[in-house]
Amino acid sequence: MSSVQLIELDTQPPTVIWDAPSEVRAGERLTVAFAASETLGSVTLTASGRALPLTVGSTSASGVLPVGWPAGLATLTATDEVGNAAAEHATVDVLAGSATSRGGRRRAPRRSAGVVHSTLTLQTRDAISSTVTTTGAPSIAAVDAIEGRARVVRHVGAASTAQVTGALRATVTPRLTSGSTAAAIALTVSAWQSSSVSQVASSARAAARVRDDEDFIVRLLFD
Amino acid sequence: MPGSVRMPGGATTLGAPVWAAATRSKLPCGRTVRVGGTTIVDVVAPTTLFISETVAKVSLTSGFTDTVVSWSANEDCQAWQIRDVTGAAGQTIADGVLVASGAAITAGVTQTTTVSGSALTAGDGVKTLKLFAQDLAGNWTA
Repeated sequence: MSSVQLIELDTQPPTVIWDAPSEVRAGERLTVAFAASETLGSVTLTASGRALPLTVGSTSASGVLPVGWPAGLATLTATDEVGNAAAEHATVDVLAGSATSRGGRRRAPRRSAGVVHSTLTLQTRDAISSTVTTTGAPSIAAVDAIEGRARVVRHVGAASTAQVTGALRATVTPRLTSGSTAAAIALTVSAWQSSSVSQVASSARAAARVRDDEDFIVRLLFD
Repeated sequence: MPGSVRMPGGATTLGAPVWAAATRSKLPCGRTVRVGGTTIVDVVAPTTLFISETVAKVSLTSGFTDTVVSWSANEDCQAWQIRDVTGAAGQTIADGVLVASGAAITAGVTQTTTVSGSALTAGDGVKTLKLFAQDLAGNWTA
């Protein structure tokens, strides 16, 4: 005991780098790893007005999605121990169905008509970029997502241009530096004609290193 | 001797004694009182102690703005202050920023005070809170 007391004032949000969350369905456990600049006090999964507080560890958070949790994209948010919210979010693809009906046919994630005239830039470790143009229906919901599976076909040449067709299904074929056997790829959005993009989902960012003939997921979240 | 004060133990010191009713034992500001023929001078500041706090870190986010500190003083006091003296030149009652204050308290009784993050000095970091109390003779904690 002392006549002096130390109290810490913390008004700054934590910085959180999320690992790519795995796909999950209602009734299953979701575990997502992260690296944070300070101890996290809460990690919450939200979707369609529902919120699920996860159990937070030092480097990961986990929780079981209750049966009935809606399929589609859900958002992970985090705060530090004193409620300062991290600016970085992650998205989780919750598949339709539940763990108790796993034998059934897995339905595709929710998709909606959308749009999309846009330009993506693929930045590689070697500072080579590719331009990807998507085309699709003329409108997109206020909050929606576009996702697709990209495949690195071959690392040749310098920059290349690839077409992404279909409103919600994309194929990207970046061609990277000659001689590269792997490339760090980050997806950034340089321009969108019909909608703003709130973030590039972590699953895309997490495709940090891809090799020849290797798939990775492209997922963009609009608002 | 006119104008003198007789200290406990028979010592005498010069001054301008102020006489009060014999039922009072102390007067404000280190003044003296005659009790049963003995004049007592109280120049000793009360001792204060922080006992505990509910949380050691606060923010400006709703639900996380406050911590409740428990504290006490070793003698009856007529006033008290908790001040944030972080970075202050000194650590006296005149220094720092007032965080909380109150009136009379009883010696040895644990007090609880809510300290809000918004009352602390601006800027993130560890803040130094100091507890001051003023006894019935007017002495403030140094």
